[in-house]
Amino acid sequence: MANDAKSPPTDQESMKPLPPASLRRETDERLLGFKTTAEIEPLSGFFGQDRAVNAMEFGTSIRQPGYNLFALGPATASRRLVVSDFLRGKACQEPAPDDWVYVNNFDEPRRPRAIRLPSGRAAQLRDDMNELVGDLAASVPSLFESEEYKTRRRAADEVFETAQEKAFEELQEKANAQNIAIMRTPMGFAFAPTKNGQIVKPEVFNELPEAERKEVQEKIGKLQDELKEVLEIMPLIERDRRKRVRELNAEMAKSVIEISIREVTEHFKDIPAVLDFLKAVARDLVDNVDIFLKQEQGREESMVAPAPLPPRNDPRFRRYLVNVMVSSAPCAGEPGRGAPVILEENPTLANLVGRIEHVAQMGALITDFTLIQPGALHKANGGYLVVDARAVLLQPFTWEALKRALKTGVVKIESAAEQMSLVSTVSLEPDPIPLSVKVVLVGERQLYYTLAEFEPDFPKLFKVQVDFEDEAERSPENLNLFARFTAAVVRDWGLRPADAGAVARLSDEASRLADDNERISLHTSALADLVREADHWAGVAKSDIILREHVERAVTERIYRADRIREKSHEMIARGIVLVDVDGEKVGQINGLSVLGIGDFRFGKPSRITARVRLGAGKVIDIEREVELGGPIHSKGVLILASFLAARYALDEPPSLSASLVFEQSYGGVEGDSASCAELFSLISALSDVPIRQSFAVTGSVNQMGEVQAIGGVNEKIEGFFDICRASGLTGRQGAIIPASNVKHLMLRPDIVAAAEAGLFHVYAIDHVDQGIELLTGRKAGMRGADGHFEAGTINALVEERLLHYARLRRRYGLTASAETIAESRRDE
Amino acid sequence: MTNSPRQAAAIRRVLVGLSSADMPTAMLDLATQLAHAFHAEVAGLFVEEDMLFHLSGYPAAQVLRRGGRPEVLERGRIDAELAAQARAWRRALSACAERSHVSWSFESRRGDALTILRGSARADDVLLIGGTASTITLRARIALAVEALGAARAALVMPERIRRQRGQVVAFSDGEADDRAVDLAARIARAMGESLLILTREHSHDSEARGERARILELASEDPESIAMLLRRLEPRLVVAQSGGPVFADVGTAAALMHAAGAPLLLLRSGV
Repeated sequence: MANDAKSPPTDQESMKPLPPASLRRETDERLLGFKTTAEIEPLSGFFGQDRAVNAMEFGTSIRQPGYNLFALGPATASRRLVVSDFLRGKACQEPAPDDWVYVNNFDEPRRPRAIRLPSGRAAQLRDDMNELVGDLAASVPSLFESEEYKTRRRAADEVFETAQEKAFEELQEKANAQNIAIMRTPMGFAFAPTKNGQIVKPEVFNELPEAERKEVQEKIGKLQDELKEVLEIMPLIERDRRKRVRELNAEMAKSVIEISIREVTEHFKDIPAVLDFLKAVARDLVDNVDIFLKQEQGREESMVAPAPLPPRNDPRFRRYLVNVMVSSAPCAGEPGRGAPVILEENPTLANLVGRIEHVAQMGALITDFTLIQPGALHKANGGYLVVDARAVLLQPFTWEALKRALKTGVVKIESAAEQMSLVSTVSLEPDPIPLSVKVVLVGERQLYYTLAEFEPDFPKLFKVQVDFEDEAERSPENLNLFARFTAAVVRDWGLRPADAGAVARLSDEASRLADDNERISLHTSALADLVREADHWAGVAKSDIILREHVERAVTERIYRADRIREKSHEMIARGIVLVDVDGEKVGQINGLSVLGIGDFRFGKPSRITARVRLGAGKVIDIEREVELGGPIHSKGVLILASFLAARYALDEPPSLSASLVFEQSYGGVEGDSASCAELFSLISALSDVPIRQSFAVTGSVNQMGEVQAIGGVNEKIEGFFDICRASGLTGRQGAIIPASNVKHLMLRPDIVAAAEAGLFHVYAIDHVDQGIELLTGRKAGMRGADGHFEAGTINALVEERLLHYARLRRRYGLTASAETIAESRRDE
Repeated sequence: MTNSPRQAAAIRRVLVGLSSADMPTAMLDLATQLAHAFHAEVAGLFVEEDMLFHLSGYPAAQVLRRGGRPEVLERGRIDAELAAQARAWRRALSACAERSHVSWSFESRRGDALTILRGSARADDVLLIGGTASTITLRARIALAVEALGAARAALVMPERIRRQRGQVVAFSDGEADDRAVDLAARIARAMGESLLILTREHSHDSEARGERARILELASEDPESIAMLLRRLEPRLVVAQSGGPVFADVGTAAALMHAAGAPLLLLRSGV
């Protein structure tokens, strides 16, 4: 079917391009009310996150189990910073939590005891015990050097020695009297007969009469029994001696130990657990006072005599020390104390629940309660723990350990190796410490939703959702807060002050980041980066102030650093390798617009979309979908446009069209429905046989009613086409067609605004496909009249004519829709 | 007594009499320290006592182990044990001597212990006697030392247990005639880096001139009980005395004082 040359031309005046002012909304620096940020008060905290703040207020105030928080939002929204700032502010108002220490369990050293002390007292107990040990290390040895002790100790030793000596002497005398000698041999004691003090040789003895020999042997037998008794009693005597020495030592030490420990007891008389510990210490000190008299093992043999160890480092006294697990620290910037806020950057299992360290000694790994190290949960106990959700989930065993701690309300030290049964060495089982903490997980939204969906414990343990906004309204109030935020960045990072022009330009960029000229982005970390980069360029320019041009340069340089791929892509079009026309007219061919994202950089790229039509069974083939390069949303868009066609034209006839659509020279896949408008236009062009102006590029999705709907990345898409047009030379006929609902998102580059002002480039906003048809073809789209027919010569009439023609042909060939559909379906399979 | 200390006659050798009796290895340390102090050599003499070999010849001969466990006594076993003990003493002696940088020798002989020791000892020896098969008490060991003294300058008796590794050297001075004990003690104290305490009945100027580190304590009485109490308090590392002097007149008193001191006793031969 030939193009209908008699179709009435469209009234071109009815569609005006958007005025240049609507292509970009810039902040008027004069309205900011300051010259530089040095004049304004830096923002303390954050802005635009009322919902998140409200959630944090609620989550940190409610004191019920399971009301932990999950801060969700994009990473660039400075969630951690916002959360930690909020928590620090709140924690300073709260009382400091109790201290916790581990001490030796004298009854069962494998199970160190945890003791709770009022805030700030742990260090005092530690210091007191260090001092106590130091005092005893000095006073006990001198006590044992006293004349009194020496004399009593000598006496105790002598009692033993003389008892042994006496027993042997008595036996010896008895043996001598019976002419028997007791002898010491390498194997033990033996007996031999004597005569006149001399040993009777065996050969002589054996010649004696049997009765005499028997008598001697009987004597030896009895003496042997007596010696046996003596030898058996020796260890008992030695045991008695040791006992007496111990008792003496204890008696001597008791008074000095009691005096020393009394002072510590006085300091902690209000804490029963500490008093129990001190009683146990006193008992143990008395029982083991000799440790103060022994040299540290191995020190005697040292070639160079080392300096004496401070008592607290001396292994002999470790069991009396105090291992402070947590002790309240002063609140940052405040003279008082407050609840702790712990940010755990590396939430391994050990870093979370603590660990028991070991030291190598004589080839073995040993440990004791002083080697227990606190984890983030210990440190945050009584306060707040902020931790990255993804990091917790990636670390083996950490998530389970965190859940256990929150469920049971205690923090128990456990090692990954033990859980996996990789080691079976004897280790410690410290008392679990009661836990009262608010955990704030920080993570992406998707992670939150995934956990909420698939982790049954998650909703029970993290009941408070702290959802961060991505953007805020671009109101004067928020612009004022934005300026103060800039001032805070300047202050915190020691940057040059920014003038009002720079702040205005930064706010423009914040709108661009938000892809919305009525809003500003709250991705504050990205914005702070921009301020820092602008400061750098101000330095390069030897300026004391960050000016608008420095922000501009920061933006330009940032783009330049990232846009190698964009440049290559556009170069391929300019060199004719990738075919995109920016002038002339073509039937069934249109310029679509797509956005490519590489890292955090996005750019627009025009693509040629073509459509071909023939007689068929009413099916529109999406070639991208057929070869599995099209995503589901793109396919949905194609099905919608097919539905639009079917519902608008040749309503009384069976569908008899077979059409195909393709993104030419696209090899990387297509997703999204933003090209559905362009695809529809190319199809209509193919059906009407009316060419499309190639000076236009189109973006927008279409619904079944032909309404054009908003899409994303509108700025990048327009800029991408503009760059291609400019490379070929701007003609004044070129422009982009976008959904009207996207106009509020326009924050185009200033050079495009300038081109529009010069009439060299245009942006058209449409609400309905008919508006696009008219712009692209220069012909009227046409309305269906009261007679049920489209106005003759219009694009819509031409399309309907073609479809009716296909229907007639179909009937002529005697094809039934159902038979052909079944045949096509089989072919597809 | 004169005001200038007399030079004691040189000690050329420390002869250590070793036997099957289990004595503390600290004896070897002391021997090598003395040798080092006097630039003397240390000679180990291990005696395989004849009487031990006779024991297995008696019918149903037995030994009682420490702890009272009886065991059959066989000749072959005695041979092996003695050989092993000789090797062990030799190793221990060489280690101690090398640590102290003194020359050493070791010899093993069979026969009567006292006879062999007396036969091997020279006039300029210090003799260290651990014990023999028949000396199972301290008194017996002191008696053995006194008997052996006829051949050597001095004999040192070890207690069962040495209480202190460091401490002062205590010398008993009974008067001018016995001043050699103080001379020897002074040299030993100086060489070992210990202080010297002289116990005397008569406080003389000569005693004061033994050196800066010498202290003198006048004995109020020669009553053994009083002296024993004094020794307990002093905690000496070594006691040096004249054999047969008024304090160490008999073996029983000497043993009691050694118990009180808890230290080795070096007895000097009287009249030398």
